[in-house]
Amino acid sequence: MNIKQLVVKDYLESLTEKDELNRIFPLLLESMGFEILSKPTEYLGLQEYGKDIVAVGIDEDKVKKRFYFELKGGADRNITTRNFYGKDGIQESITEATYTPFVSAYPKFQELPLKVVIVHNGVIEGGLQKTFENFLVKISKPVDNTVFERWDIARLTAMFSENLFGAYLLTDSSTTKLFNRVLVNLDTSDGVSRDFIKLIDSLFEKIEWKGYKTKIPRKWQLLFESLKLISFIIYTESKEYNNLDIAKRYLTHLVLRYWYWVLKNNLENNKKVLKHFNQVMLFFYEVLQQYFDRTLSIVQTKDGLYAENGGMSEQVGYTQRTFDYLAYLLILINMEKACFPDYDLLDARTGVYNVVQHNSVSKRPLLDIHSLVIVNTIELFIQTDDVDAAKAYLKSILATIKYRKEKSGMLPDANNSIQNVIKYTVTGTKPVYYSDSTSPLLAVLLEYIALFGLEEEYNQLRIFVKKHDITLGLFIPHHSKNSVSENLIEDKENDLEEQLFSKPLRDGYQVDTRLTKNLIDELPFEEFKEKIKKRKDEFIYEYRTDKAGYAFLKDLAHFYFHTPYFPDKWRNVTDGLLKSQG
Amino acid sequence: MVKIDRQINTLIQKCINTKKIEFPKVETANCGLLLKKEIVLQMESNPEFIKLNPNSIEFNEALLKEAEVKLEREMPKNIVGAFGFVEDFQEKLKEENGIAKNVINGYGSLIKGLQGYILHRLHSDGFDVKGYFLDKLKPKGEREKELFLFEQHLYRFLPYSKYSAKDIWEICQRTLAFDDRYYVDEFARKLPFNNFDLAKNIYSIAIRSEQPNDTFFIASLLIGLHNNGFEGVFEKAFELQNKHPQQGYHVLNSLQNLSDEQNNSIFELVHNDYLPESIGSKTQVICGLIDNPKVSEELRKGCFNLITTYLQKENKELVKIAFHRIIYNLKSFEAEKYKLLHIYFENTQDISVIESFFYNYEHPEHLFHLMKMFYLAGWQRGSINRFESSIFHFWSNNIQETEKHILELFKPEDKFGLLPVEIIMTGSFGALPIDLLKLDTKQEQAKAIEAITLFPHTFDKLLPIVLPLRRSPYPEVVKFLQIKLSELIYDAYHRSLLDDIENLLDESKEDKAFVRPLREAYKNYESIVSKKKSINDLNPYENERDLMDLYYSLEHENRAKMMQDINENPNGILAAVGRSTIIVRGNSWKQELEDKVMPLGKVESSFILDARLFKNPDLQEYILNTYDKR
Repeated sequence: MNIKQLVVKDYLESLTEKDELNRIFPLLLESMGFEILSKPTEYLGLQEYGKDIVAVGIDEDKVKKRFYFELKGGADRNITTRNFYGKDGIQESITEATYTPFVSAYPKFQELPLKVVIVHNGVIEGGLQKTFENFLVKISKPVDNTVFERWDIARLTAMFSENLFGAYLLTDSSTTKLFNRVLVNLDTSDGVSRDFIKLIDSLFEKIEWKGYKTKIPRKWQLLFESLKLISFIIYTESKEYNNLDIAKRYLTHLVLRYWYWVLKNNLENNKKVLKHFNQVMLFFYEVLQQYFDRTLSIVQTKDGLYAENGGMSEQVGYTQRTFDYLAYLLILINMEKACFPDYDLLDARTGVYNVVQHNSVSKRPLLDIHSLVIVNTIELFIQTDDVDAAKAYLKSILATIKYRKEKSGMLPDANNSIQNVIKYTVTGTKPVYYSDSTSPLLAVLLEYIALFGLEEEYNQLRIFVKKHDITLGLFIPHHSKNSVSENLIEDKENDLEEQLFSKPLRDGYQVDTRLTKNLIDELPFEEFKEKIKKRKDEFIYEYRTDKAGYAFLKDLAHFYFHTPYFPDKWRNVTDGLLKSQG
Repeated sequence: MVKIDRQINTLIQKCINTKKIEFPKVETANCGLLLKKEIVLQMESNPEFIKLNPNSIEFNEALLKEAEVKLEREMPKNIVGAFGFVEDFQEKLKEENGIAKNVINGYGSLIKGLQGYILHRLHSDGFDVKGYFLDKLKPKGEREKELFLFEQHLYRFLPYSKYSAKDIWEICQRTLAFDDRYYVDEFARKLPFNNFDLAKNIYSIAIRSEQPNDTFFIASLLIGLHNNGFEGVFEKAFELQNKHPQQGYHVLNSLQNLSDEQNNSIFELVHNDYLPESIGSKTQVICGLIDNPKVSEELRKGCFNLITTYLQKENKELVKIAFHRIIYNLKSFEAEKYKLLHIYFENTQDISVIESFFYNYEHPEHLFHLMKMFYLAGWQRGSINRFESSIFHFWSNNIQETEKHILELFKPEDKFGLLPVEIIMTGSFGALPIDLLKLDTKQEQAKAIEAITLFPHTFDKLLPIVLPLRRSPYPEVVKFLQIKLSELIYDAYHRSLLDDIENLLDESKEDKAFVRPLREAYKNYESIVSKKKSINDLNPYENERDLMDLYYSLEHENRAKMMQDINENPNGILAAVGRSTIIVRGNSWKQELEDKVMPLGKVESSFILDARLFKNPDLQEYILNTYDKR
């Protein structure tokens, strides 16, 4: 049995909304070497020229032609007497497409022969077949140099298999099986399935990037198209499950893996490659936007992220979900900030503030890595000149951390294992790998305490840290510009960013933040502040990702791989404020 | 004669039909005659009531005839057959009167009397009861099941038998030698009241015994003899104390109508006794003196001083023994006894005694004082458990005062937080039914609403307590109750709470108006839930399955471990009720040799969970711990 054909056919049949066909069809044309002059998405639904896609390409007879594509997806994907006749019927739209001129600057566009194609991912009703053909004969008579065709599901399946899936994605049975498994199991795992990771890895690793002279080689073009296609397939399947969280998770991996490949091949400044990368990244951005459009109004009600059907497990689940949700929301905000100079940050701040206020658990970090959300939230409040909100948020986080330690003996797990948190919560016994004698989170919070001049909180925290014998340890990668420990780098194949985008980063050292001087005496607040100021150059690094304008992707990588932020993340902000305070 | 026979038969039927042996005099025809014949006895606790004398020969003769009619056979002449016959009679009665076979004590008192009479009847017919007991009766574990409680029947029969004092003493000695004392001691205690002369005669023989086992028997006889007018017991008790202090004190503690001089002598005796091993007996005797209304104030004061010194001893074990006796033997002077508790705490730091301390108390005032003291000193989750049995005691015996004290805890200025609610929740079958409308001010009523709606579990039990406040004379209170219940419906209990509330309301206009905003709150809740359900993006069943599976598998394991702990714990509740059998399938059970299949009782319990507890457990605990603190 030809699995590939079945997979492709199943997939194409599953595109039940009109815009889904509109999105995927241009990918096919691009992969076939067509030059697309207008896409339906560019007209945002305006009835322009009466045709969905205008393109120029070489036809089967090797003749270069103009192509007008009329797409019928969604409810119209099967051609029936109901949608064929009458106003806005298929018959009318073909007529309109044929006679309405399309103006293009493409050389000798009007002189090229024309092919009008009706594309539908369904079938034609048995009785209508003859009528349809007669109609095409009739309409082609008065127009010169014009032919008409109908591409149905069978034709599309063949073309997609051969040109897109077949050309790169589903080239062998093992990739076909992998992809099939990814789709079948898309809603069965919590994170991202191993099959998906393997599939994307195998695509990137199949051929070696050797650069190009003028044009990106076709096999790489096809790979980039395949990645777009995969994104789109994952998205449409997620919609089938009425669950954009799936697309959010899978596309996170895809984008990060893609950027890792870009960095690895030093292509972060290559405009042609970035054009392809941007298409996937912007698609991911659209998915995130849709995800938050669907959920934000719910989440901004009291305990909006709480799942009523979750039962007792919500004592961990609700908190974890809230931190994950905020992490993505803050990433989206940073993305928008980077992409749109006029972006309304105040509006974004209100959104985050509402989520935090309506979900009290947002002040209850269970894992040390929840520091990412805390840092980004405080940063957002500072950027929008709402230092009071930042202070209040910081104070409630500190209060919760201390209360949990005093009452249940738990600090956020520095090993960042939510499984361990669950074990500890349910059994009351601390798992062996639950680590809370060292707290990087508290070390970060202390720097904010210094920043905001919260002396009372500093003194309380100092006592708390001493009482519970907590080590305040920050993670510093060996890769700093002024590093004295470069010799300790273990992964010499990947630089800091390549590591950051491909795995949990461990090439670094832990530095203690002591609240004592001479190892015994209490360190006064003012001296502590001075100490922090002096440490601002502890880690300096020039990121290629930042230069290329994708700084927000680093946040995504830190979140995905559970790598804590490096001190430059918050010290750049805190340093400015400390200076202004004198 | 015919007349008394008819009366006795009427009485038998009455006992069988009502399953009782105590009746109001007015309901008993010819009561005077029955009393005169000692077929019934006057009840000391209630002069308007009489009770059956289960040892009455005439009554038991008639009861035996009734048994022979019902079983359609005569009583067998052999001892095993005769007792089996009585057991069959009892089962027959139970069957006829709708009592299940495995229910014990359906006609217990009636049958016990008959069992004693059986021996009398067999003895009259020439059966050698004494010989049988001394020579033929097998040890307990080996004997026929019909004779399992033979001693009980024997000692019931002996006071009315024709055996001589010497014969009876021989029987008693045999029992005492086997250290199987319960029935023989009871016999000694009651005999002077049932047969004074026989008691005297047995005493005159027994006193010569040198057996240590016999002294308690002799002491019991002495007490009964003294309290029935026998002279010289007081002096004998002193002699006994000299040889066997514990028995001597036991006698001295039980003698009634002693003179001031005799009471003083007892005090002196105790005061000058420094033996540590007597501390329990001494404390008991002193408690007896304190409780004796006839002793002088001066002597009582001396007694308090003396037991205070006992409670201040260095040896904590002795202190505990002494205090244990105080708890159970000092029945009056509640304020002074409460002071002793604090002396005890100071010396031992043993607060576990709270659970039994108020056993003999009539007024709950001191319990509430103690709870407030503990609350202010540092109240924790589970602290209330120490007080549960005492609260139950007062709620059973002095409901008005207890309710008054609970209500007082809702005074806003006193800041007792959730303490009153915790007390209300100690009720064994649901919350204690406090009437919150008895709270005078709107502030107190509002405080009660606030505390009750904050209480973290089993709110369904508190609902019937708080809901009557919808009839509060203060409109602000009614409004506040609606707000708080709406919050609970939205945040914590959802539909189940609204259902429970609606079930407790009536069709009145006021109630319909009252429930309106609550329904609105539920509608809001439902609307947000349906919004969440409309997408799977935030659904943990879709996106966090592995974590949920881990959580619930651990939770399941935890519960299994808990059950195992209960089963393995020899002090646990399951161990206390004996061997437990698990019915793995089916809805009923049958014992091996029984005919009937018994349906299993349906044990259902339900509680509704407060969602606030697992939304943000830390925050909720913080709120609970800091609520209404001084």
